[in-house]
Amino acid sequence: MAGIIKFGGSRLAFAVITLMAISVVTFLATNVVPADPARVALGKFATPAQIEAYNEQQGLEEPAVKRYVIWVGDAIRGDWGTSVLSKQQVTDMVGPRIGRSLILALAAMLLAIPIAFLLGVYTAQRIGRPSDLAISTVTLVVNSLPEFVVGIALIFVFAVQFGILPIESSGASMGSGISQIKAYLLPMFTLTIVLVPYITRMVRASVRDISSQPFVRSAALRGVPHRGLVWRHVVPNASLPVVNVIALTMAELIAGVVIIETVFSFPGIGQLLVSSVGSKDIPVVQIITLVIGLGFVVFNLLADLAVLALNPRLRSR
Amino acid sequence: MATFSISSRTTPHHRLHRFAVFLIDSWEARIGGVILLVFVIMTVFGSVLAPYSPIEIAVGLPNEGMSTAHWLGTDVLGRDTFSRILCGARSIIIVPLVATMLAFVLGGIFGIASGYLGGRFDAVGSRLLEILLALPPLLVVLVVIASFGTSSTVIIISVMLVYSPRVARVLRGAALGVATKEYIQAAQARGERRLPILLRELLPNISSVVLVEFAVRLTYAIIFVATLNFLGLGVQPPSPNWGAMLFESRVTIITNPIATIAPTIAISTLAVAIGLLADAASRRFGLDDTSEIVR
Repeated sequence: MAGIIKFGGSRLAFAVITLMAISVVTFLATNVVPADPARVALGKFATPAQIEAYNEQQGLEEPAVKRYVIWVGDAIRGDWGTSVLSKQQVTDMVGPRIGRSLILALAAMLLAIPIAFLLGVYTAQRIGRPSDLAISTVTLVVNSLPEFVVGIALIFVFAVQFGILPIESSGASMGSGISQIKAYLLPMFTLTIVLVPYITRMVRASVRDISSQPFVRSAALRGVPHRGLVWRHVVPNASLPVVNVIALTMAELIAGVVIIETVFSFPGIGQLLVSSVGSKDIPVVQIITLVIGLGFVVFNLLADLAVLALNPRLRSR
Repeated sequence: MATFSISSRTTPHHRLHRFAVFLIDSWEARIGGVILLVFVIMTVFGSVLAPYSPIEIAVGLPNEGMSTAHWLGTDVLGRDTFSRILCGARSIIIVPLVATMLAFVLGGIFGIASGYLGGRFDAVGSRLLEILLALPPLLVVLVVIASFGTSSTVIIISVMLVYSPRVARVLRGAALGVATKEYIQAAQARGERRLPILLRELLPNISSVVLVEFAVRLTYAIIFVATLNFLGLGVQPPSPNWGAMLFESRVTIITNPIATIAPTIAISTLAVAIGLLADAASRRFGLDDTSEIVR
């Protein structure tokens, strides 16, 4: 029990520090360094008096640390400010998109992990044989491809050539149920294709390493049938490093969501982030960064919990 | 009679030889190497070979298909796609190359110092690295671009900042691995100064790690920067750049598919070639695929 608390406590502390680091970097990059936010807001022809008034109104004359605390406090309380560009409440712009991005990311993960496990376990038992070489080569090639290339390739095949799925996914937020689901499919497949090779390689390497352990050999000598050997002895032990790796792919997943949403004009927070970066809509960029940062940290904690569940040694220590 | 080698260093000749063997040995390295060679030729001679100016508009009709005059057709503004592909090679490599090199200077110095010196410096440094590594790279770069606007300088610096801790971590590990070896201790016992020890004893012995890490890092940097260009946040028009070309031609994907296909294939081929090389190299030099690859 003490082991759980110690392990969980240290991971929780690290999660909080990570989230703080993300907020500090965001704050520094968007607040302290660029010389004059007032110039950005008021334009080139603002008079010094106007700039002074703006700074006072926005509280920009306060020291940076105080401004940071106020900013974080507002973000936590849900006071997300207004967009510089559309004057809309950031809450209204970002809120409905969070769910759609989350569904996209989770669906792709749920699809990618089993596929990657099957491929990884399959190839690890056939190392050096043609089937392993073929699958390993394909995963290596796909792993090198940028996300947007995969997305465009799928658009070509399924939207342009066959015309069975929509060419872009802005329909994910409106229209009938069927058309909404259809709008999710291509971005989801793209994200899955991006994630599978990476996890497959890790599973393959991990299963290969575990298979050569003495306890596997002794189980085989005891007469444990092959299938039971693989799924009851090897895979559970091989899963442990893989869960760590899946936690590491979180950053990859976030990048994937942001890029793929943009490729497909999918109405999620990633697409809004990119367009807000392009239009320098700082309040929106700040909030989305914090939201994604929070999601990142929470997912990592979940992965840690999975490690805890899979590794009894951590529990008893 | 047995011969004993007393030299702990690999001579430059040896390393070159090892590299040559590596290139011939694995099919992945061979394919990757040949593609990369084509690409390097394009980088150097692309603008000479191009039949048209890459930025001149209306050298043909807009959105023309493939023809003998325009091998890969033209884009929305009637610019020659083939010429833009040829000339775009240079812009896709320069920014990532500079950013990666700077990341190696910054992260390399920090990582090697941390690994070699150890102690409190290393303890604090490692904690700092751990936090920096936890920041999602794309998020950081996007925030920087949002406030500073986009330019090659901004992209180079932000990519450098994001990659330095990753380089530092790998090189710290490598330096830590050799810091207690006999030849280092011998040099310390001889009373050599720190810097010569680092440069003449330590660095040559971690050179293969440095090389592989550089190749891998460069791959990611190229894809990363191409992605920024694709998102419309990198090179600004009219410069030819494969990522930016995709960003521009995406809207005509149905009417003029070749304008999208050509840069897609160009980027894919390059990415796969470097991916093959990096993979072959990391296996050749014993960095196996279970070692955590942090993008």
